[in-house]
Order: sequence, then C-alpha cells, then structure tokens
Amino acid sequence: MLGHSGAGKTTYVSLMYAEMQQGVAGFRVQANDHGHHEQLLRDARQIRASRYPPATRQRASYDLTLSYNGSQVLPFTWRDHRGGAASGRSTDAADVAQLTADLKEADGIVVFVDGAAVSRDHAASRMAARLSSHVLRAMHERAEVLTPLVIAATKADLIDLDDEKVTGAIFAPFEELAKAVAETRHIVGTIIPVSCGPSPLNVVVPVLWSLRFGVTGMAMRLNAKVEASASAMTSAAAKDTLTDRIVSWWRDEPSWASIAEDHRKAGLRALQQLQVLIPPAEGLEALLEGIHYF
Amino acid sequence: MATPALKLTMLGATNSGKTTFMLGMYNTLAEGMHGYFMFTEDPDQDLDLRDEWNALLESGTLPAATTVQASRYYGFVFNHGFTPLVSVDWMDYRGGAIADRKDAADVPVLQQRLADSDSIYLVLDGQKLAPWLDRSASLTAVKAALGVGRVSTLVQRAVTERSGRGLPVPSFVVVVTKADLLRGPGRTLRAALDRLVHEALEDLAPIAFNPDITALVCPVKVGNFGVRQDPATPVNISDIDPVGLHRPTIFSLMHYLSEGMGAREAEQASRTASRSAADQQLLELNQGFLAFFRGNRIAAAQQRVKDLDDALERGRQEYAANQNLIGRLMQELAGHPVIKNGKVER
Repeated sequence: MLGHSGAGKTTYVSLMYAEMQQGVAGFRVQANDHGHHEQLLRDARQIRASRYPPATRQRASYDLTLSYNGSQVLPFTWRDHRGGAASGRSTDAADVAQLTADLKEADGIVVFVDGAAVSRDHAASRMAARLSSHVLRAMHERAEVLTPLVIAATKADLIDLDDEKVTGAIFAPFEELAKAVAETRHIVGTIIPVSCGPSPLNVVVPVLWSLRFGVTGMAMRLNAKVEASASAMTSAAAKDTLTDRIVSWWRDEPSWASIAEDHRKAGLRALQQLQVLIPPAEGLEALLEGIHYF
Repeated sequence: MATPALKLTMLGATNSGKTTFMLGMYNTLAEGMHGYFMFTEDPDQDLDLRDEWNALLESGTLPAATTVQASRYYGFVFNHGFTPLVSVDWMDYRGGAIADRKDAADVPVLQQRLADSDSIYLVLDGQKLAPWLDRSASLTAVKAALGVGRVSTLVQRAVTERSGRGLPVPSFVVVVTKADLLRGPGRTLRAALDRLVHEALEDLAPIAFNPDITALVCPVKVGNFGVRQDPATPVNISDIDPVGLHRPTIFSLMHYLSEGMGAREAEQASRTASRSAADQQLLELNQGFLAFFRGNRIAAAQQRVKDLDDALERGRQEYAANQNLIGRLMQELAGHPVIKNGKVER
C-alpha cells in the first residue's frame, strides 16, 4: 500500500481483513499469525463503531492466505507503511528507503488517496500526483512482470459520486499515469472509490483486484513450468536408448529414461497445481466483472 | 535495448531563470505530458523539486538562484509511458560560472563537464532580450546584460575536444525563458523568435551556427509574470501557466538518438559483411569429399550464420524503433527553429 498520511491505509487493511474473514463468494483471507488476526479484527470492530486506528508509526507486514471454497489458493504479504514514508526523505527515516525497496519488489501496488480531500483541494491533488513518481520508479528497471495497480480513492462516503466534476477532480492527478498504464500490456490498473466508515463501499475490491492478478501470474508461471517440463521430457526421451539404460545402470547414473520420467512427474505436479487455480481464477473474474480498468 | 545515458549541462547568467525552468520542466513531466514522464533516480531529489514547485504554486515564491558556490546535479529518468527512453545526468551550473575569469577555480571543471556533455543548454533571459525586441536597447547592451559572451568559446573548445576523442558533437539548445515578455505591441512570439534567430543569435551565441552543431531555439515560460525588477518578489500564482518546458529535453534525446543512428547503420553494415563472409566460409566447408569430415566446423559455421542473422534482425528492430521514436519526438518540436549546418530550419 502506497499513500500519504491520513489516506486511510491502516483503516483499510483492518476492515478489508474483517470483510474477507466473513467470506466473499467463497473467497476468504486468513492471517498466518494469530496475533495479527486478533489485532486486525479488533481494529475493524472499532472502525465499525467510528473509532479509527491511529496512524501507523512503522511499517507493518501481514502474511495472509487466500482460500477458495475451503482450499488454500495463494499466500500473500500485505504491507502497510507509515504515511509519512511516501513524502519523507531517506535521510530522515529508514522506512522511506524501505518503502522504495518494497515497491520495487511488489507484485501489486495499491495507491491510497484521500478522495474527499483530492476532490476539493488543489494541494491534496498535487500531493496525490506525487505518488505517480513512486509508481514509475518502482516499475523502472524490472522486467515486464504482470502487475496490478489499484488507485483507491478513500472516504468515498464524503464524496458525491454522481457529480462528474467531483469524480473528474479525483481522477485528474492520475490521468496521465492511467493513460500510460493503458498502453502497457503488463500493468492493469483501476480506480475505485472506497469507504471504510460505518457504511462500507468497495472494501474488498482493491484486495481482490490485486489477488486476481496474483492468481493469474501464478497460473502463468505454472503453465510455463508445465511447458518447460514437457519440453525437457521430450528432449530426454529422445536420447533414451537401450545402451544408455545399461551404461547408466552400470555407472549408477540416472538414465535419460529416468530423467524423462522425472520431468513428466514435475510437469504433472505443476499441471495439478495449475488446475487448482482455475476455479478461483474464474471466480475472481466473475466477481470483478464490470469493474472498469485501464 | 539498454536505456541510453545522456549528460546534460545547463549554463546561464544568474537570475536568467534556468533553475525555475528546470523546476517547471521537472514538475510538468513528473505528472506526465503527452505521454512523456520524468522522475528522479533519487526519491529525495523528487521531494526537493516538488517542494520548491509547491512553494511557487502556493505562495508565488520562485526558487533561489543557483548560488555562486553550488552548482546542482540531478539524476533523471525520462520515460514514454512506462518505457524508459533515457537517463539524464543534469547539471545546473552555477550562474556566475560563465562570467568568471578563466583562471577562476572551477572553470577547468566546467570546461571538462562541457567536454563530457551530450547536450548543452544556454539559458537566455527573455526579460533582458525584450528591450532589444522593442528597439529600445542595442544588441551590444543586451549582450552585455545577458552575460553570455564566453559561452560560445567554452562550447567550441568542448566540441573540439569531443571530436578529438571521437565523440559526437553535443546538441545545443538556446532556452529563452520568460517567453511571455518576447511578445510586444503588434509582435507575436513567432515574429520575436524569428527576429532573435535571424538578427541577434549569431552575435549572442555564434556557436549555434557552427556547421557541426545542431541547435534548437526554444522559448519557455513558467507563467505570465511580466517584467520583474526584483527577482525575489513573489509572483502572482494566478499567472502561473507553464509552456514549452519539456521541449528542450525532447530535443536533446532526439539529437542523441539521431547521432546514434549513424553508428547503428555502420554496425548493421559490418554485421551484413560478416554474414556474407560466414556464408562464403560455409560454402567452402561444404565443398569436396572432405566435407564428410568437417562436421564440427560446419556446425560451428552454421551457428555463426544463425547468430549473425539474429543480431541483424535485432539491429533492424532497434533501428526501426528508434526511427519511430525520433518521429514522435519531432512532432513535439514542430514549428521551433532548428539551426543545422549553420542554416535555420523549421
């Protein structure tokens, strides 16, 4: 999560966790650490009673697991940075450099902006626009890896979402970035109004959007593994001869036949893992249908 | 394709507006313009540049002039969308440097920096040019006020040194700041620019007409601030209206890529020649009965032909991509005077 102080990142992670704990169309998220589980649910209860958590003082990292219909699908880590880290100098605090490093490594980026402030205040809009540089820097010097990008305009309950002037003002700081994202094949972005108050809105969308591409990315990696194993198996099988089997047995070395068999088993394992991902991938696609993307 | 690295040096007299130009250029491109983006390699520099820009937008405070002691270095990355085009090592040379006597301590450093630069900007203060355009001041007086007398000599030395080292000649950009002041009664910006280029530039910066150099003359403005007697006075924030700030960088990149095209063509020609030689070798190896015993050498020659084919194809693709990019960059500069081989083109 990337955003300035007061954008609602800490509030979001708690409420997102509580909603995903209840389950959404068969999907659930579970913290690996019981302490995190308790803390996030406790904070969510407070938020629902309009008592918001204090600003994060240091980087928090939550190891979570997505499951679908009771089966574990994807482990993932959700990182919450101190808001000041996005606008601080690395000479002032260690977590500033940590945020830059985390963004470079991230499989997905969720940008949080205070939608209510951005819609009415030029200074807030300029602050929001600063976040584009973080995204560009993070994407620089890394291969074209499938990366979801969500811009979460928080405090949507304070915004008139039917007023196009207001929604236009929220989108304005990211307009050029969105155009640039739309021209890439590997970054898929969306902008979502989010409210974490007593009347929540779209709370699960940023996490599910990110996980959708996490699952897709994992499926693509497994597919590549299946193909690589098939190719290695074919290549090894072509070298299998009776002489090779005898010589390998005599030298106590793996024969080309056994190497081909190992590749077949590895490919089969990857294929089985890939098949497990198909129902949740389809489920996420159906769940997020209708969300506009760029 | 590796991102090219470009070294750029910006010269200009104190209060010519070069730091404000650079600030406006960065902040305009940081938010993106026509698909082009710029960001700093060091996030802290981004904060410095954004804070200074915010001070201008919120309270009308212009950045302090680059001090006598401190020239400023920046490391930028210039993108089209998410595609890096060039990394820029940008030096905003302290204002007084070009007016210093040649025995001043850092003049040799400046000379070396210029000799290492792929692009050199000379920033001219539009406010000081305006009296000449109004015909109320002579060109000699304006030249003295602009304080750019030695720039051409310094750049010429850099060109000579680079040529001696086999390096391409740097591009040269005459950035005319405070372009709102170039207009006058019955005088459009274009007319002012034409007069500047045809009647004054050869005196102000003769290096722009050096037949080896390609130069762009680019008016820029951060706002319509009018004539300002005291540069420290805050400007009216409602007058902020940045125009043209990204174009000098576009030109530097375009020139850098164009210069590289010759080298790429030579590289492709050399690959084509190697490919013919490899073909001939393969033909010879396959001749006669001994060909049955040359299996390994034939396989190695076949592999070499394949590698050269791959390299030629990659070269063709990179060449086409660069040509395409140069075409796009040229569109951004349409209508701006470019001086090539000593002649003005548009």
